[in-house]
Amino acid sequence: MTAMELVLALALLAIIALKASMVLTSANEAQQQDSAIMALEDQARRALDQIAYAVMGSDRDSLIPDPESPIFSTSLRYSISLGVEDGEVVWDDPEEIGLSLDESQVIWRKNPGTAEELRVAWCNVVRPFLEGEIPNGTDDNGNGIVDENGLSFVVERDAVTIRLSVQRPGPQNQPISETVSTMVTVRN
Amino acid sequence: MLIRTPVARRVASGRHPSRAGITLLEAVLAIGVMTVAVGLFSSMVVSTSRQRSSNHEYPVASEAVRTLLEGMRNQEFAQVFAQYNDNPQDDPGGPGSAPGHRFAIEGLDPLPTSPDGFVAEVFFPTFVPVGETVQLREDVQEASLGMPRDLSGDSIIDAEDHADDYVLLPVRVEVDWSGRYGARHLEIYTMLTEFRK
Repeated sequence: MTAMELVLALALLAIIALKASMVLTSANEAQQQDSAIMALEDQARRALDQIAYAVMGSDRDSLIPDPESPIFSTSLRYSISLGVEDGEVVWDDPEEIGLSLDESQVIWRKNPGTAEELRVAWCNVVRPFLEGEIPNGTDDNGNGIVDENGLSFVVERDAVTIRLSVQRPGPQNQPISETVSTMVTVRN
Repeated sequence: MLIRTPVARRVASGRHPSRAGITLLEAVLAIGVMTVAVGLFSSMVVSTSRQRSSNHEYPVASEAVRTLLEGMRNQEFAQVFAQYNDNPQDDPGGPGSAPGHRFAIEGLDPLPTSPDGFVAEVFFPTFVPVGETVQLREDVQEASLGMPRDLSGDSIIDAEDHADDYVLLPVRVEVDWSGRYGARHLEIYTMLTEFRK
């Protein structure tokens, strides 16, 4: 093998190795991005299901506040039925789901505002505003409500529509967002 | 220990004493092996990505159906059948004013055979007599909906139209969409009744 052949062979090998490395790197990045998006969506959906199942067992008359579209609320207070005793419905202590003061967490509270208050954070990556919405006084994302926060409740008849947008840094440090929504009918 | 490659063995045996190197055939074979390996790896990456996307479609469909069923529960129970059947003439707010029986779901593409570009359809135990409109019937033979069954609460299964006096309403929602791996199908069943305090 001459020196020229050796140089050519090494150059070809280097090019092929570089290309293969680029393919591997980009595939790895894409996989990491996909995994991060799926994990974030799972997190959002878990929080949404927790909120939905909590609201589902509540009494329509116990919902506070009682927003009607296009007005929304970032918190919802409700009471859950524990069953019937001596012909009377027995209600559990009031609960509330809403945003934390810095609007980045979904907080569930039992006996809110009392000495016995119990607080649990259900999600801590809430976006300041719902995906596609900016604080400009108009309905940017076309969902019928204006300047809604990352967590919003809209009540219509016996149904509560819950929307949640979450965001966190992705594998390449660019922010990734996911939005989930559902509607539940209060059962009691 | 000395390991001799085929080329080295040929040189050592004196069959090709003039040149020691990689033959064109060996180079072609090496490139071929590498191409196959890269091809396999690429197809695995693409396949994994498509599988993830395909797995994402079912939660989207089931969440949309859940929202649709919750929307049905939010209607006046006595009007649910009229609101969601395939007869626009009986819509409570006037012909064509109700949601109807077919729906689009954001994120799911309709099948090429979809007549209206929608992916979801609501089914009730119905029967359409010749020359008449759709009827809600107790005598429909449809095991998936738990039929035949008494829907009016009179303990009798008859052949009358119970669109105006049902107390139970079996519902099936079917979703057919064009997924990454072809046609996909989802069915969800439930039984609606009126909540009374």
